[in-house]
Amino acid sequence: MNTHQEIAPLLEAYSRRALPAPETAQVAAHLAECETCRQSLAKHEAARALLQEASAPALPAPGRLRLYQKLNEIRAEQGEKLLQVPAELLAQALAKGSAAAQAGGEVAKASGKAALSVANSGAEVARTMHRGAKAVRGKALKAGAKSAHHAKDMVDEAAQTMIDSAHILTSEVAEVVSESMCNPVKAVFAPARLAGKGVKAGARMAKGSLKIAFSGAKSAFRMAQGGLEMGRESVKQGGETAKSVINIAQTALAARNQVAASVGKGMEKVQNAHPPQEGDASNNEILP
Amino acid sequence: MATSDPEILALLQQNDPRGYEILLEDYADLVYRAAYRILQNEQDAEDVTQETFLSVYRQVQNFRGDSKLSSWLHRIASNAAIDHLRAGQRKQGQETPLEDDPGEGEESPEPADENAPHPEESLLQQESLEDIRRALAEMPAKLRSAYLLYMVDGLSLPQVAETLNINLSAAKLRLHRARQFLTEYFSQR
Ligand SMILES: [Zn+2]
Repeated sequence: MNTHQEIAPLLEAYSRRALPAPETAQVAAHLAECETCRQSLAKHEAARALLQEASAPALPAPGRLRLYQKLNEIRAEQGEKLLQVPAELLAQALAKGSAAAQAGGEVAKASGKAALSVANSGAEVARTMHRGAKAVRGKALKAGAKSAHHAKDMVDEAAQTMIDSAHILTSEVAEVVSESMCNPVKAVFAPARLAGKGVKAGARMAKGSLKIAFSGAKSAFRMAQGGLEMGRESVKQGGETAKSVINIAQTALAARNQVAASVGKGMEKVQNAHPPQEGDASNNEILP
Repeated sequence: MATSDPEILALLQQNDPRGYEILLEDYADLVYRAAYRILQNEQDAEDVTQETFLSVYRQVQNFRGDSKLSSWLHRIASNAAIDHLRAGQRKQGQETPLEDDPGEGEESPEPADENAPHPEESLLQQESLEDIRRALAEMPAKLRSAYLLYMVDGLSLPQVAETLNINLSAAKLRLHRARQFLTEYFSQR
């Protein structure tokens, strides 16, 4: 058994988890029977907890997301395989956007939410489109292309609105934001893209529909980021700009849903009527 | 799900994206904290975090694995943060709180009694989180990073020395001075 005098000086290191295993065990055994040392340890741990909280923030989700983006930007320039952004990180970053928005008031909060829905439905569209890649054609595709185009304009408009109205967001910032959005989204959909390659006859189709889904998701993502930035800044600003982001986000959301619906219809049609014909010539006309 | 240093390093040196995925998962916070402790500013710490992982991307082929991956990352991050701080201060024409007294290494620290009572610890408990933050922010950066590696991350003094790329007696001195700083900071008020 160790004496109190032997153990007491080890408590500080014990509280930092810095003792070697044998000493750790000795201290633990002594703690079980010594109230004085337990109290002393509690003080050390309280001090350490205070220091930890005062000193050691973790990298917040949006910053973490930008880190993936940064690395993927460089890797994309080199034509290297991209990192896959963890799905929960995307969700967290978006949730963070909503949280920041909440602080900025109801208007901004709604913008974060709308952005989240847009992103979610963007991902949903990607999934739906991929499933239907072999079957979906012509009309759905054109509708998709149109709406993706539409969404892109909307995003540009949103960026413009932000640039115009906010003294905070310079056009440079907006550009960086929108540029850097490309890569993580690519990484997220990389597996889908690979799987798409496996579908022999529908390969081109898959590529085309994913492209649309990608650009939908991309704009959704920009919206989300926009919502996030807005959320943050609207603590100071609020008002008109946020409102227009909501409108845009909602319109984009509607557009996404439309695409999803028409894709769904296309799939249904194929499932109910006849099996997909591989290597259909019409695939080649539509796709870029 | 700990992947060992050599495993991660092998993936990194093959430029396998999974290597970077694991690296970010395991070490992004460590790097961010190292930078934050020096810079005391979220945006700057994030910039330095990006710089650090870009350095890894550029330099990983030269990394021999002599030190732990975490020490290597910490070193890159600290150096980048210090450069960042200097650049910022140059721009603002500020005096730097970065350097210790010029006499570092000459004056020998108090006998290395890691086990002696630490008055700053009981002092801390009387203070609000905000005041502790302020005290840490005012502490010279080199002292702060040594102190927090020791106190918060639970590194031993030799590990602090390795991480900061300084010798053991310098590590002891920084820890000692950090404690002195806090004690003085809080007893003055
Ligand atoms: Zn005891």
